Formats: sequence, C-alpha cells, structure tokens
Amino acid sequence: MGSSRDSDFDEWVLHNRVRLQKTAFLMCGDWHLADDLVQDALIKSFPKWQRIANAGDPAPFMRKTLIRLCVDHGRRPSRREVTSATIRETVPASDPDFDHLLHALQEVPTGQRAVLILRYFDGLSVEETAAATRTSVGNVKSQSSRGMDVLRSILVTTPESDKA
Amino acid sequence: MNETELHNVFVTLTRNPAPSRYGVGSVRAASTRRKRQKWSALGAAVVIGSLIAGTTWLFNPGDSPNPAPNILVPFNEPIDLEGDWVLTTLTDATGDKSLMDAKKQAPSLRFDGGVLTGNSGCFKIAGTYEPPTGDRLDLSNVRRVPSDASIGEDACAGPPFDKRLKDVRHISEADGKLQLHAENWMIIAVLERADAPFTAPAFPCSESDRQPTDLDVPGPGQPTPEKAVGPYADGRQLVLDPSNPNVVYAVNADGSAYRTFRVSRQTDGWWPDGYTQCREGAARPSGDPDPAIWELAPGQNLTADSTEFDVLVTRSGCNSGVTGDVSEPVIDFGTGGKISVSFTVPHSDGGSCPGNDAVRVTVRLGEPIGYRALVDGQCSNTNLATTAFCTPSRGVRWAAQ
Repeated sequence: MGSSRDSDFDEWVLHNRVRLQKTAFLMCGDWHLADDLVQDALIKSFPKWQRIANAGDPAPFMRKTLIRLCVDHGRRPSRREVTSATIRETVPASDPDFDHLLHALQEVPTGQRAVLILRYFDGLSVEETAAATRTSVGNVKSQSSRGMDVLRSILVTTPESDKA
Repeated sequence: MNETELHNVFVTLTRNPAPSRYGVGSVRAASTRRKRQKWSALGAAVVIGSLIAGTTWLFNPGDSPNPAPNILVPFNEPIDLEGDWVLTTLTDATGDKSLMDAKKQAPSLRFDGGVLTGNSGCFKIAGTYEPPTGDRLDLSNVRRVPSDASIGEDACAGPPFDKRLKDVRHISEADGKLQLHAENWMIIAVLERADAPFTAPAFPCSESDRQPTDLDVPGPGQPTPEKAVGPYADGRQLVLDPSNPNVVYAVNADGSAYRTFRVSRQTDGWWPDGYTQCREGAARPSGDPDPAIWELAPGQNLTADSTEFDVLVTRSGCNSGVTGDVSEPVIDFGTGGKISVSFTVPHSDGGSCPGNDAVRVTVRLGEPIGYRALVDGQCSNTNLATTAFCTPSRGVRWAAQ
C-alpha cells in the first residue's frame, strides 16, 4: 500500500510541481523561494496523501496548502521586507517590463494577490477560490475587484520612462 | 487592464520557471524526518514531564501501580544500502544531469559492510562509510584509488565522480532507486540495484544419487513456468533461472534444491516436461566439507602494510562443541577492494550444539592488505549469509580506516 501511495504521489508531483511553482512564484516573486514553498507544501501533504487522493483531485488541496504557506511566509517577521540604506546587489534585469510587472504584482496586498492568481492564473471559479483561501464568495469578489484596482493604479501611476 | 490581460501578464511572468532543486524522493525523506523529530520531541516531553512530576515509574515500569504506556516510535525501515548499485544519473553542482563515461565499464558502487568501492568507468574509488542513520549518509572520505589517481579528469566525460560523492549527506529511496543527496537535498546521483549473479541451488546429494522423472500431464498449458510446475513442487519455493527460461528450481528452506524442473513453451502455454530430485534416503556426499567461520584473533594491530594475521576459526554447524581440523585458508584476492578468506572443516553428520571451540590459524597473504577489506568468504554461502556470523557486517572482519 505504501509503495502504491508513493508511486501515485511521485507521479502527481512529476506532473504538477512546475504548475505549483509558478503559482508560488507569482505569490512571492522569487523562483527559489517558490521552490522551497512548494517543497514544504508537498512535505506537509505526503503523510496524508492517501486521504487526499481518495477525495478526488489533489490539486485544490495542494493549492490551498501552498497559498497558506505563501501567506504565512509573508507574515513571518524575519521574512518581511526591511528598508536599507545601501542598495543590495541584484541580478541584472534582462527584461524591464518583466521586472516592472512582477514588482507591481508584489505591491498588491497578499490576500488580494492570492485571489487574483487563483482566479486569473489557475483559472479557479469564485467558489473554488473561496474554498482555497478559506473565505466567503463575497469576500473573494471584493478582494478580486480591489486587487485589480490596486494593480491598475500601480501600473498607471508608473510612468513608462521609469521602466527602463 | 481586464481579466484576460491579467491572465496574459501571469503567463508572461511564469514563462521561464527555474528548475526545481528538489527530487521527489526528498519529499518522502524530509517527511519521515519531520515525523521522527515530532516523535522525538514527544518522547522528550514525556520524560521531562515525568521528571517535573517527580515520578520515576516511567523508568521502572515494574514499580508502577499501572503499567507504563508503551510508546511506539514509528521509525521507517532503514534503507538497505548493502550490495551492488549501478549509477544511472549523476548531476554536477548546478543540478545538470549527465551520465558518466561508460565506455570502459558501467559506473558502479558497492556498499559492503562499511566499505565503499566503485568504478566510475574511468577510475576506481574507495572509502568507508558509517551505516546510514535515518536519511543521513556521509561519503566525505571517498577517494580515488591511488593507482588510478594519475588519470586526468579530462579522460572522463561528466562531472568528477569521486568529488561529487564527497558531497553526499542524505539518501532516499524511490521506486527501488537509491538517490544520493547533498546537504541541501539536491540530488547528486541516482543508483539502481545491480542484479546479483544467479547461482543455481545445489542438490544436497551427489550426482549419482539423483533421479530424473518425466512428467506426462493433462493440458492445457499454463501462462507461466511457475504455474506449470506448481502442482509438483510440494509447496516448495520456486526460483527461476533468469538466463534459462526452461528451468525452474523448487528449493528447500535451507536453500538447497528439492527438484529441478524442465519446462517447455508450447502454443497454448508452459508445460512441465519432468524433474530431477535426490533419491529417497540419499545421503549428503561425505566428501563435502562443512563451512567454518572466522574472526580476527584479539591483540593484533593490523595496518595496510600487514601481510599476515591470526584468526580464530569455528565450525558453523552443530558438532558437540568440536570444530575439528581446519583446512588451509582459501584466499581470493578477487576484485572490488576486498580479500576473501575461507575455511572449511571435515564433514559432520551433526551433534549437540554447545558451541564449537575456536582454532587459531595464521593466514599468510603473501602481499600487504592495502586498502582492502578482509572478508569471511563463507558469508557468501547462501546458508550462512543471513546468520549472525555474517550480519550486519556481511562478513567484513577488518577494513582499513
């Protein structure tokens, strides 16, 4: 039984890890952190995999776990962004548009960002998004609307010349 | 920006995902480790709680008015490293996968009772390791065998085998494959267990005492050779010869052959043609000696330069406490970084089992031991391999540190 569970789990991970990584990346804006968060989500899910798989498609559960980990990670005091007097060395941006969009997305409050990603990247319905974020349908609709407004305002208020 | 445009933005942002640094097996291993940590913490909490409460019954269950709780810690089975493995994947420090240059010989590793030997296909490696504790395995002292050190790294394609193995700190197992991981769980190598060479079970009687029997059975044919001979195996375990599909062995509990079946494949399936077995009452050939096991005699300080050593030899079977005359040692220098030394004693029909006496024998190799392990050759005997004489060391009596 254990080996069957293991092989089911392995196969699911093989086909879905990248998708989860992309969701986590949009949430946190860092591929390596996204990789770590997906790994954490998988580790949390593995012991109860049989139950998760028996309930049907494991994807909603995994997404819920991942989103919660991403939100929790942002809340940790040690992980919060801090201002610094010096400019840290970063990897040179190869695509200014890419950085601009990513930065704008990270400016959207976490809860609203999660709703936007689940609805417009993962393609979840309002009800599924509500289940994944453990909020009400009404809350999802309002968060979604506000998130779009925030994103629009960030993108509009940033002059094109700043992108370069 | 509308919803479609936002979706396109998301797709654009995630167009080039970074490859994951984790293997699937690492999820399982890390999950096991967390479970273990949780139970360890629970155990510690129970002990601390009992100390704070001033109770000692946890440590002296017999004194307790109530039986002490039986705390079962669900440790997973340890990964069985021992044996031969073939390397299927090796990664470089960035995680890029590649295979070693297998032109000369398939890259392989052998874990043998604390001694690790291997062949990259270009050069040999050797080292020692502690048996893995949980998912921890340290191969930091693996090195290239000196005689092969002169081979330049350019001679081999792919990342340097020995240097990558030095980084191994964790192991995991997935689908029968062994994964070696770095400290951060990045996969360094993936290994598959090498098939052990097949050894046909031997009859416990001489050839003249064996009797062939032809079978003329009603059809139809059976889908497998095992099903074809099953009704005639008297409940014995069946073993197939991987190199010869027309032979099936029925083996006794001690690993000896009970019957050797001849089978053939017809259009409707497999048919048993006949079998060979020992005649009723046939005795074991008296000329065959019995195996004896050995251990190093105490008080010796062996080094890689030692050319001889003393051993204490004991008959492995029951013989009323008598080992008897010990044969000259059979020394096999072989390959794989070990020297096999075997002893036999005259055949015995048995006796009581008070434990046989030890006979001191000097083994003269005629050359230095070097960086090779000394192994009791009788531990490759199927009847002794799983006994306390040969486990868990697999017969390794000494290994260079």
